[in-house]
Amino acid sequence: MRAFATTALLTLTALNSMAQDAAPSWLEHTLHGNGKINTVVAVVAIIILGLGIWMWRMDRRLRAMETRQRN
Amino acid sequence: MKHWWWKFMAVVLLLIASIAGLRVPLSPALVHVSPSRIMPGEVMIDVTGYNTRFADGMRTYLVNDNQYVCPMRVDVMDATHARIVAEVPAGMRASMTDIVVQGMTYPGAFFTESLGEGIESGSCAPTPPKLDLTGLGFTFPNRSILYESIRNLFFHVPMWFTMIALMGIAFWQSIKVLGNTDLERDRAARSAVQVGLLFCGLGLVTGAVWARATWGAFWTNDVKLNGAAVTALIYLAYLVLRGSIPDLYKRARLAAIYNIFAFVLLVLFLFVVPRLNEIDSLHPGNGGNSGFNDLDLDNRLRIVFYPAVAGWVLLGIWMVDLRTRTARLIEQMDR
Repeated sequence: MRAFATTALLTLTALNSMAQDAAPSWLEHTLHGNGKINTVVAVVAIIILGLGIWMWRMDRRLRAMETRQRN
Repeated sequence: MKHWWWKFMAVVLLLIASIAGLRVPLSPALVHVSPSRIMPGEVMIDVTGYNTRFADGMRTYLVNDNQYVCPMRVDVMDATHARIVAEVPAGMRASMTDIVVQGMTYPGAFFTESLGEGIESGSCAPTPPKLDLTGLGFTFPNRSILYESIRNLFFHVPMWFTMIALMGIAFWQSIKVLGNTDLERDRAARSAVQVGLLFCGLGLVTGAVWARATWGAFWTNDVKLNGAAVTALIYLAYLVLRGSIPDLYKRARLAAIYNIFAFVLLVLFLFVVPRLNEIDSLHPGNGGNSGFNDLDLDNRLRIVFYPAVAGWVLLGIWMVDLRTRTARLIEQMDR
């Protein structure tokens, strides 16, 4: 178990350090692409995702009420 | 019709603002000039434009402290790329030279070497021609660093306007609760805070993405960022406080008192502190300036920005309405 944890930790650290080397260029490339329009795409996507999560929670709330009414 | 006209308005306004916000093109501008340093002698300059229509015979010149250098040759590769060959004289006065192409200026394009008392000004540009916008129609301003991301004004900023509007509604309902401990108003206040926090979270995350693309980091120590984060924590504490009081009426009164103070802190952290003179902020309209002046917000942006804000605020109110109604039903079932 401990060996597994150590391996996992080391892998994560390695991944993290790789991510730090690679991230700026990758991220810069994506966000700055096509006159930075991708930044707008990301922002709109986040908003739609947020509203989606809210709708999903609302759905769950209503479903719980439906179940209670049936019982 | 009476009850749902504003919901219809929310959808129409969001539709108009989102389509216009994404479809309207940016004004043409010069976005890249290479090399970044010029010295006396012949230089070859590559100019890259955005949404430009470079054409043969276009007016091009370098400007150094109101003295002009005319090019020897201008080769237009395509609508957005051109190569300019110029003979740079020695003895220019300013250390930065601008380049003007078709009336579009790229300020501070070149570090200039061999400075002196001034040069013989070229006669190619006595009066800079105005940028030709015919045939383009309605455009958004093309600012360096921002470029297309200026459109986030219609998505990121309305999140905060909506959050503040919803917290304002919660504040108003809480004041009413103090009068007669009306549980219905208490529910409305709680729902408004919950939906307001969703918009606050969306504002923080979208702001982080925009900041990464323009300021270079997801989070900076900007006053407005820290103020928004503290405000979010204050309102999270409001929900925690509610959860810790079992008695319905006591909970309603205590939560109302807390919520009134929370809104006062929101106004302090988001409106007062960022505008103090001695604080610098990356956000427009802060650090000694008032927002919404002509320098911060172009009129072309306002035409889309205001419908976007109205649409998002109405959508937020609609969400609060749904949340309040479900909360009421759940409480009726519990009884």
